[in-house]
Amino acid sequence: EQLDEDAREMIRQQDRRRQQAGGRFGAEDTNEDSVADMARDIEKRHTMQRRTVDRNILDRGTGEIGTTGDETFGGPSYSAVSQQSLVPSVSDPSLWMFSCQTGKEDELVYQIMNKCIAYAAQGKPLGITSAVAAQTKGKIYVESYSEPAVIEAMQGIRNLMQYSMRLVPINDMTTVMTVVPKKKPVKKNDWVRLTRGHYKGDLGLVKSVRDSGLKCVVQCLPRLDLTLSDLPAEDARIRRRTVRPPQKFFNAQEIAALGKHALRQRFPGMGDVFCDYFESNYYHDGYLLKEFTVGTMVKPCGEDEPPTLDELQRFRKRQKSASDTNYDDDNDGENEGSKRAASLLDELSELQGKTGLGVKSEESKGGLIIGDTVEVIEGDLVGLTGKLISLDGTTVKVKPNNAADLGDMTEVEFLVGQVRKLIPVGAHVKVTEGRYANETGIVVAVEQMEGETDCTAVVLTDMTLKEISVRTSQLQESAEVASGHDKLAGYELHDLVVLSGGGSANEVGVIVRVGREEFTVINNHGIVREVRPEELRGKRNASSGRAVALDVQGNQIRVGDSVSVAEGPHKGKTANIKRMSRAQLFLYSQTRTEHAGIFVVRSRSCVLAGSRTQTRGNADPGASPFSTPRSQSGGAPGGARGNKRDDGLVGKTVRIQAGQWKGYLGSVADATPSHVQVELHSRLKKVMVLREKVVVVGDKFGATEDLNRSNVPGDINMNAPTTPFLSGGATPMHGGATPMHGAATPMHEGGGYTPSHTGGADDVWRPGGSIDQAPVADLADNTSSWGGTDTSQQADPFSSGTPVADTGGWGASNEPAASTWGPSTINNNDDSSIANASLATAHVQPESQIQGGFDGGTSAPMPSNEVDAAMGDAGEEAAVWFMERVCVQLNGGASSAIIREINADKSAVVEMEDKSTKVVRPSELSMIQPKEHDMVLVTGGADVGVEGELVCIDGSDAILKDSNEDFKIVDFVHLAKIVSDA
Amino acid sequence: AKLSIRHSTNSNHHYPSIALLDQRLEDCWLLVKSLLLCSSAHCLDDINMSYPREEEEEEELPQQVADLAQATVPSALRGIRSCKRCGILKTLDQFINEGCENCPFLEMTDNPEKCNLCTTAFFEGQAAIMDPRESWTAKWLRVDSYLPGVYAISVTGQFNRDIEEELENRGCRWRCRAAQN
Repeated sequence: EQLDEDAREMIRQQDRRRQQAGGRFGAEDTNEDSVADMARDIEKRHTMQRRTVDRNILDRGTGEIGTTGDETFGGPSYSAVSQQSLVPSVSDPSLWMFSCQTGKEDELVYQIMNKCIAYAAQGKPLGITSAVAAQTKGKIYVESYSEPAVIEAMQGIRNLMQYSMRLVPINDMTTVMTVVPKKKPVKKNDWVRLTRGHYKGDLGLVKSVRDSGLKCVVQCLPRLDLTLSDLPAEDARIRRRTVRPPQKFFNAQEIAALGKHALRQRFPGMGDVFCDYFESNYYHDGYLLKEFTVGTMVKPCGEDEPPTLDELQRFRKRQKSASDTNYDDDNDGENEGSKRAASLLDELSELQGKTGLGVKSEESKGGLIIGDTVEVIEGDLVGLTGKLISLDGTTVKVKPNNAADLGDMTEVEFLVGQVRKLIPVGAHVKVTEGRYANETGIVVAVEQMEGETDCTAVVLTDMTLKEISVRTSQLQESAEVASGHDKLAGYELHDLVVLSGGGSANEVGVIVRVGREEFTVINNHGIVREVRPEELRGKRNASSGRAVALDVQGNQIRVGDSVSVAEGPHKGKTANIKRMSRAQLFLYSQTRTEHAGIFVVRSRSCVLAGSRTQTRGNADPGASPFSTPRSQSGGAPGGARGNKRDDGLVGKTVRIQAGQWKGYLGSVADATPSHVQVELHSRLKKVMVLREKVVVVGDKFGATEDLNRSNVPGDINMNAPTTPFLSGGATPMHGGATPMHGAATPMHEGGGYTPSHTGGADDVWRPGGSIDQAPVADLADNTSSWGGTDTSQQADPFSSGTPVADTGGWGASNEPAASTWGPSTINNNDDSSIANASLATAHVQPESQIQGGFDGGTSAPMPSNEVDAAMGDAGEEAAVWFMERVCVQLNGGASSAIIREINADKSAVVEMEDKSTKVVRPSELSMIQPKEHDMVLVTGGADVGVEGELVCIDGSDAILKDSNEDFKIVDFVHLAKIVSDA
Repeated sequence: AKLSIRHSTNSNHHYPSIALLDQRLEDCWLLVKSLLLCSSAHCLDDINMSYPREEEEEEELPQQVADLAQATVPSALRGIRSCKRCGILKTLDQFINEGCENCPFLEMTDNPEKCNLCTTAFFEGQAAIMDPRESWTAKWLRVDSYLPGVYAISVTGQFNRDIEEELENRGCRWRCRAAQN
């Protein structure tokens, strides 16, 4: 019998030893043979007994194994039950724990063993039964029946702290003996992580295993520091310690360029693998090949620390070239390499699958969900397909599809491992987990990789129409169509983004797909590409929303408008403008599936579609391409407000005639009764100016309007700023010729301002008028025609000559206004005590245009020719010195005069030396050069506005003393002689 | 006679195996009988008196002590392998030179190839078993039927298919376990 043979073999072996050992003392014993025989007898019996016991245990063990269904007979698993029977009892020896130096545990155990052997050989056994070094660091355990034996045995053992002896409670003894296998064998093509030294933490791929698994050759990314050899030894040592060179593929050319040389050598023991041998390391195809010790230097990548995508990506960069060369002797690795799909990412996902990462958890259920179609892959019913109807822990119940063939079995139970999810080609699936989670698509192929239970399905995705390979366990049949993610790194679908890289500095694009870790972007040239979030430089949605472009007809189009494409590849399509960047429109059409409906068209290739074109076209028939959107947009509401107030001014180009912005051109953006908001052409600014301080110089596009046209009565408002006061004055004379001037003052349209000339006003007016009129008539020689007229006559031309004034709107508020003005007029007349006091009154308050209206009557006596002249000259630009109080010369003669008043139409009232006044135009005047000790006014330069006494003239400079007795030096040309206030 | 032997041995703790004679009375009895046979004149006295005398003791050494004296310990700290069947630890050289004392049928002696196949470097923990029959550790590790030596607590690995079959035919069990990931 075999067992007996075993036993006999053992015995024989032991006998052999015994004989060897016994040689020393054999001679002494006279009855050696008999003793030996007897001993052998005992021994044999003893062994036999033990053996039988063993066999019983064995039989029991195998029986148990059989019941648990372990696949191999005599399978190596001791059942938990039999192990349970081995727990220590009180009759077993006790265990003592000793502390020792960490890392010396093994050594100590061997040392103790050696000591015991030595003592046993001397016949003085130490009395300890075992010594254990398990996985507790810095602890060893000694087992013995007696404590003194342990103490004695441990005497004199170095690195052991004898004093730390402690009894292990009997319950904890099994805990001591539990170890977790830490060292794990690695297999070829396993992913491993290097755990020590230069490459600590790096990822490697096992290329071959040696020394029955103790050593392995690992392929990893080199971390070469080429500067090391150039440094002095000391620095190199420090650098080696402190600087960890980055991972970089080995490049022989690079080495050669540094003047170093890599030798071509075979990697020892790897067949015909030619490597670059450099600085005692082997590099093959850029990778480092190095032998490591398994367990200590290299650990397999477990589930807890799987290779990251990034690492794999870095690692994989050059794998294709590696597969070209004859790398492995067998084709295993080659096939694997060639199998790697074209796309790197697919490769990675496959590799991740290959390394078995995350398979474990799947394996438990295989991604099965109730209702799945499954296929039996093991057992008698292999090949059977059916529907999963229940699922619990380890078993599944399947309803066979061809139940009739199986005697109408409604359900069959299988182990989870015996079934596999069945995904037919053509099924529409959804990826439930992994890299492509939530993608959907159609299965175009299913293939089984060798040595794997799981199938890999090739799925054509709905979103990107890319083929991805996914394990079937990660798939689920579903009708759902993924719309993709909607957000990644703060970017969303249809965002206008600035792209970096790609050469052009200002490439922009619109996101048409948000992937798991990348976007698909259509750029301004219509080119679609994938970008990573890092490549994006921010959104431009806001500026896109503000932008305005022009279509082929010159219509303004902006985001949200619907346009139809007039030319190009997209001709005929109608779409909404989703985003725009300069002249490129990113159009969105719901009917397009490609690129999420986005396509790119130049704005000039589009026509604004829809009703908005018409309305806008009607509103601005001559919409100019040059006009800014602002003025346009301003125009529309302005027009809308038009009925509230006549604001024909809005949109017109005007020149500002006074104030800080004097001389600036701008277009009127808005208007109030008193002010207009002018958007300056030359500055990015809008200013509010008084309505009368602007003059219309053109239409809203800047074209100069025909002056005649502006004089048409219908356009009265245009002339608002012009000569309000003259208008009134002219009226009586010229009858209907100039009524518009009177009405032209914008104020007059606002009822409250106009102490109207209608009936009510007349009551007030007449007395004042008659008071005023008398002296005027007396003084002015040339008003003879007036002389005879009485006030009633004067009233007549008013009422008749200003038909506008009779409009109902005027009368409303004339009463208070009139009462206000009446007294002031009178006062002024008293103060000035000159014939045309009323004129002066009007002039000192030029802003109160109302008075113009009033005084129109009083100024009427003026010579008609002068009035005409003044009016004709209205547009003329005045010189800088053309100000009140300036001493002037009338060009006609040498007579000097003082400008007393400047009218709104630029004509001036001058006071002659004989105190008579004249209305003159600026062109008829010239400035009198100031002389020393004259009072002067600075009209230009830094000190403009300063008045003072001219002290002396020095060439082109003049020194003057101002009212504060300060001396100022100004350009002489900026001086104008004035009369002193006194 | 039994009583006296127990009494006499109890006084000397150098012989734990003898101290346990009561547990294996049959052995005791045989031993006593043999002792009586070989030296009837000074039977019991001799056992007591001859203790300190080494030469005399050697031949009467109990089995366990003798086995212990013959035990092998790994001769180096590195390159230690474990027999996949019994889990005994030795260096590869030791395996090649001596084979495995527990598993002679693996025929590792002078067969480096077989040594590589039947031993593994993937093991965890060491237990030096001085007395496999008595030690609980040995029992726990199921090496109680083997010879004294240093054993691994857990052995990772698998036998070749044919070796496995051979062992199965022999009705042997083995200690190595396939690695679990």
